[in-house]
Amino acid sequence: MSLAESAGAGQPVPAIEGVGISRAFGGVRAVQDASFAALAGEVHALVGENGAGKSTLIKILGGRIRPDAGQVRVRGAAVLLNSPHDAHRLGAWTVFQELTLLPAMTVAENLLLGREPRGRLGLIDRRAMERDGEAMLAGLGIHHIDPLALVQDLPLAERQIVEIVRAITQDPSILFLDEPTSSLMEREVAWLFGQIRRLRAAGTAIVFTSHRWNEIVSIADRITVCRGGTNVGTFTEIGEDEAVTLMTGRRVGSQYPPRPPAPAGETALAVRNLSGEGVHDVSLELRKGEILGIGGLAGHGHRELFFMLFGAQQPTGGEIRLDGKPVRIASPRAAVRTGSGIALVPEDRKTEGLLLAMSVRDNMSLTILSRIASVGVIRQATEQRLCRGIMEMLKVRAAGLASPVGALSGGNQQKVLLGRWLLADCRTLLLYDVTRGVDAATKHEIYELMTRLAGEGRSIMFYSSDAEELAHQAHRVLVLREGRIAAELDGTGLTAEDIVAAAMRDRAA
Amino acid sequence: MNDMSAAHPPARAATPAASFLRSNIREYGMMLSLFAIMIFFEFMTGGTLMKPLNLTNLILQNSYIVIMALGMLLVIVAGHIDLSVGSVSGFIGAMAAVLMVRFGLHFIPTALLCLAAGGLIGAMQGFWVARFRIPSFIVTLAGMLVFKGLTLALLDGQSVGPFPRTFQLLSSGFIPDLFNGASLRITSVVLGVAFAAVLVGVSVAGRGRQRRHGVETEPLGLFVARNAFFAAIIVAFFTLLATYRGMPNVLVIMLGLIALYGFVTNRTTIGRRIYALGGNEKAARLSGVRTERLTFLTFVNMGVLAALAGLVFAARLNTATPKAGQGFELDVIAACFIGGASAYGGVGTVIGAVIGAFIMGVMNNGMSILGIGIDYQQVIKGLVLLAAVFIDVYHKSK
Repeated sequence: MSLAESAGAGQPVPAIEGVGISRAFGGVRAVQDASFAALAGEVHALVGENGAGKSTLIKILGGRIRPDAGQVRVRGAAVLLNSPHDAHRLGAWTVFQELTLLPAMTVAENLLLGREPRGRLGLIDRRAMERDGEAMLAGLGIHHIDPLALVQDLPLAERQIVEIVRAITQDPSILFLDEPTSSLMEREVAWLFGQIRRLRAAGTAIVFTSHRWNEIVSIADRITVCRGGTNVGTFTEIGEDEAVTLMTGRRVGSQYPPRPPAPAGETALAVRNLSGEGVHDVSLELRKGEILGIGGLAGHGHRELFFMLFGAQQPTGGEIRLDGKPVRIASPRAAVRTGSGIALVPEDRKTEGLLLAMSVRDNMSLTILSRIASVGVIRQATEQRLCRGIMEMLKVRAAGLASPVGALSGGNQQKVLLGRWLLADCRTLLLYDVTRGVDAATKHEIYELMTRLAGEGRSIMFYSSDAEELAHQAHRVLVLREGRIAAELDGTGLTAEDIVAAAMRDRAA
Repeated sequence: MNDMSAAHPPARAATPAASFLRSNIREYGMMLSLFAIMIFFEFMTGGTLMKPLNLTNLILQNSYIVIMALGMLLVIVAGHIDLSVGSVSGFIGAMAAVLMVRFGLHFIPTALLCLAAGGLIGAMQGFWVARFRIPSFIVTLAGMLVFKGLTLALLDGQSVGPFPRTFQLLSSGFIPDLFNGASLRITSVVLGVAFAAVLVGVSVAGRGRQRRHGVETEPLGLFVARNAFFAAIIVAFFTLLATYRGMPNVLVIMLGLIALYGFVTNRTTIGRRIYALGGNEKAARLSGVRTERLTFLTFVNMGVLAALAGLVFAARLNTATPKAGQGFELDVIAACFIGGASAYGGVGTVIGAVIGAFIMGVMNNGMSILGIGIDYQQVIKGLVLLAAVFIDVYHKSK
């Protein structure tokens, strides 16, 4: 447990440093009192679970978002970064996780954006631009990308490479790489690491994030572990097990209600060889009364799998059976109307779930409108009674049924969404990261609700970015990796470490 | 500084009526603006604005804008726009003229055919928007050009008229007076009183329902004062009309449609779903709403109402001209936005759109009486539109 900072007294001035950084989005604290420093000529890895605050921290240090509190220092001097442009002027460049290339422009135009070669009259010299673009790529050993190709026609990996090239040809003194390898193949990763070593030798401070442990140990000089929006330790040497323990933390188990015994009941939902965009050959069974956890790192097919089961995305192959009968779920409407009713609480409740300007009542009753209407006219008394009942049952804290949902806290918004599906009496609930951005007390209520619903014989499929939660709540956990089921873990005695380890373990052979 | 809630001063203690007014200023605000504008022009025109003859004209002149604003409101709430309504109404007017004048078809089958054609036109445009997700701005811009052209082609560039007397009555007719009142059409007064009574009844029932459900209601004094005020205004208005020729037929159609669409938006499943669709299309679809079908239907509805407006306008002019309907779409869209609809979808009320239409109408009428040229009328209308939306946005951002 050596929490030793690598540098002692008389340490060199860090190339970039964040001190006491905090940032909240809405009510969610993404980063809280985090401190981080990277030295010139070092490769510094930031590791942590999804939502640990890595990306937000990088965005703050890269000038993309402003911190609510704390200070950013570049080479010892406090700076105010109002835009990425401010950071660029100080030599700090970032390769963000979501790509920032302009899709309708060519590779060369993207590479030279903002530094276009000028010809006579200060007009852009297109021929020089093509030549410079090609030279840039070739100078870094890339010959397979056409500088005249439109970025939108390139595969994801090549777009990522263009993004990286754009940053490293700026001769950065500080370079941030947010999950640069997630879409790269082995050979491309080797190329990237070659470039990183070259920059390190030239004295650049390089900060990168990755979920692949072997990559981290092969290139990083130091490793900083993040958890819950703050840094929990910086190491020159740390084992994977120790890191995973730190990443998941030692959280009190008692916040989880006791798990009901695993049901031996009949199968509610069976999926055979389901394939489609982002999902490959997934087979699973969900029993009545079961809480099936789905774990793994973000971007590994969870969202697509949930959307397919809810009819919001169509699979290209495979079979879905509900209560033994094969079904085709053509739309979310069809999913809700299947025999037992399938419901989805989506990833982003604000953009995919709620109608923020409409009332609690309107949001809850939306799916059951035709059931509570006579010839298209809503029976207001019935609607009011049903919604009030659910609101009381879920203890939604709002001024009244008429309050706009946008004014509620994250936890109460999530309850309204859950209420919508309980009103529709769906027996199969797909809950996608249902506790994300929800306060601890409400989390506990949601756990109890899940347990109770499972006890009533409903089936719950539950993805969470919080492995701890899965380990405590689920009867079984399936870990998805690159769209496939990488592991099936039994819930009894399961720990968060087991899940994270299964998710990060590199493909066996 | 980051904790916004801490920055708010504690709510000031105020009388219940004042605090209710403050939190519902939007609903009252529009109505009050309309009254303010009317009083202003009544004063400026030396009493001409509220002369029974002018009031009747005001209704006839704005009926087709109001009718289309009802459909446009649904389109805008659903998150779209329809730029073609002016051209479509002109085209339908031309079609009616050709059918009745050239082919001598009776006005009832003509009207039915025209309404069906309007629905079909709406369906065609809605199809591209809903099925292929082409922005409605583009689809209806295309429709605007297409139907402007087709109107010219259909009329050979000439005006076609006059229409049979029965058809003209749609716009220039008045409801018959059962009491043979010579100077005062008693039927119209009676209808006005009945109308006011129904409105008061509905609002009393609504208040009772709200109270039963424990929703905050406005203080009793304010409630009584408001209802008495509006009832008095309505009765006065109908009485004024009754001293001229009574209630125009088209006012009956208009009031019926306003009531119908008010009901649809507030009380029916389809109305609620349209608000959901415009508020957040993705969330609505993921909640099981058939968003494509709903978008399609709002355009079909718009087409039918544009057709009805086209008939009313043609009947009023007693001739179909190639230029009929041009620019109507701008007044209709402006009416919805002045009435508080959001350009981002999901927000807007029927009554707001109607008031918006009359604000535009009263300004047109008042400025014409004052002899302000068409040039500056447009400048002023443009500025009023901008100001109205600015006040709305400012009010919301506070």
